[in-house]
Amino acid sequence: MARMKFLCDADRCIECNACVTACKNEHEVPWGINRRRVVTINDGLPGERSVSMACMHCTDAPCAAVCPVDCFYTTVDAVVLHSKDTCIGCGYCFYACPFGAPQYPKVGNFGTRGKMDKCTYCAGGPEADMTQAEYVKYGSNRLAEGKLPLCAEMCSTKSLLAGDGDIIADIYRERVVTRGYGSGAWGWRTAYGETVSV
Amino acid sequence: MIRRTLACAVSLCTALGLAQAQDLRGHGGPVRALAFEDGRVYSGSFDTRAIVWSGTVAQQVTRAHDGAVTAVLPLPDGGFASGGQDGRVAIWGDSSEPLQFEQWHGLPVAALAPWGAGIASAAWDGQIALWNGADAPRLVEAHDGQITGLVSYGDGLASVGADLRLRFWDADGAPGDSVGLPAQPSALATDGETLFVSTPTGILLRVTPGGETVEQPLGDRPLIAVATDSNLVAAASITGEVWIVDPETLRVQVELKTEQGPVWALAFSDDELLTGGNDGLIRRWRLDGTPLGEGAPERVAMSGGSRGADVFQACAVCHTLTPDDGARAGPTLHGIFGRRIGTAEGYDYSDALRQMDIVWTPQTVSDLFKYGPDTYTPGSRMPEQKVPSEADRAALIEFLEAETR
Repeated sequence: MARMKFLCDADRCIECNACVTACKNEHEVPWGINRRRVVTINDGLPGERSVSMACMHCTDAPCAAVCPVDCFYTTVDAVVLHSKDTCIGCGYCFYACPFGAPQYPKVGNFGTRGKMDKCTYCAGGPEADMTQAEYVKYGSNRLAEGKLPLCAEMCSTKSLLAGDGDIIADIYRERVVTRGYGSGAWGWRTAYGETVSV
Repeated sequence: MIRRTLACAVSLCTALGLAQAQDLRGHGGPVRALAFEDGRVYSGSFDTRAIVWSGTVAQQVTRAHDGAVTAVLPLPDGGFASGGQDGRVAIWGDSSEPLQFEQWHGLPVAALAPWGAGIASAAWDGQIALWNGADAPRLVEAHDGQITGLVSYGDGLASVGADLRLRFWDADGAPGDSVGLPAQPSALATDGETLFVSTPTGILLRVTPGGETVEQPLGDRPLIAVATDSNLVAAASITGEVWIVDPETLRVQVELKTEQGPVWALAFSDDELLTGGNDGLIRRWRLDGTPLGEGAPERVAMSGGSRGADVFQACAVCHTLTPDDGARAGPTLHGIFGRRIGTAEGYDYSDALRQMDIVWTPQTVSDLFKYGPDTYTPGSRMPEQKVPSEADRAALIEFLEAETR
């Protein structure tokens, strides 16, 4: 079984935000919520890099470790998903997430209890695959259609890669060898407990 | 609606058998905020309460927020401020009602800090509210994304946010310099000169007034809290580990295993460290790492490992099954079947629930989770939760019928 991962090659990101737009459009993500965002690290300094940041679907996910109602689960493809029926919008997962992935709507019960929303790796949620109920809560389920996340598919420089972890790590290694440099697979050690050695 | 402040709780603590305890016991949910000032501890919790402690005694227990209390700040006049998940800020004196209780933010308050003669609050809406103590607060668009830390710094403020920036604000609330951060910040503390940022990458950051950033890895798991005193810095992890480090070298001096689950809040008192954990306890530690209390007893697993017990896990953070409600955010479910809604003894229900005409039966409890509280009991403080599976609802009812008698 594939172990799905994201890989952000920060040396290739041109901060075009196509990944952000593609995600919002594909899943009809509500106003005020971005499941994916592009951030610039060391802005204006040597070593400045832009990275496309979203849920990395961590191994041993911290969000799941701190959730008081145990709403997270990991699929057979190693995608970390959550149930919006169970989530109480407490926000603990946000503080524990190294990638700032969990997002919360401003409009909820008393303005505070809106359900957490995050990247699903285009894999929907606990509802039956490719149903309207799943789409309304979680967005489209491209994985069930045999497709990869749209953000990575849309990435014009292929900075953002998605797919089986071994395969995308091989692609990255080949790139680094070919071009002669690489600042590392951003976030991999944090998310997956390993780096991509070249 | 503003709920009543619970009376001075000496009797409560005695009833809980806490007179001789060294830990601070009184919260019924994870402790999210801690502060120490002038011999008193201030705490806020998921249980919606803010408590002022004198020694180990809960001297003032307040309840106003619709949701967790996420920040507390002692005030110079002896009162305190609390910020909540509801985006509201309450100013408390020693009376039973808050002196002021207003909606300053549309998303949860992350931190409170002294600002001039007033206070500042920072929230997940990316805004800092500057309140001079008299007029309506002035809102400053501070970060692109959630703010996770705010401290008083010099004559102004310093804040960190999800835009991976540390930003400085002058005494008038005007923006000053900013520093890029290498990782998502989870909390911010300062000793008055140097700033310390905890990050969920397990790295503690030290930022000098000149903007130089030094990284100190403390573990593989996320850091979620940081605190300082004049000589030490402490950072806490989701694993319950706490590190006390030297503020200059960032060398670890003491490592604590609190066994509290995630430690969401830290504060130094005169010669102790306080840790606020997922277990609802505030534990006290000597600075050499010696615990002053015994911690929480090991939790007993829910009976049977049945499907119903599994489904109930999502309820257990707010409700007990015993006659004692455990000071949790919601009322006890003991004796729920046959009980009219909003009538559990000792629980301060919302007006909306008190006025409803529902008697809890297996059918009505099942309907609550079929349609969700927003639809079935509108106006309730209960977060919207559903159990879509009919089989799961039946298992939950069976479990509750057995365990709530």
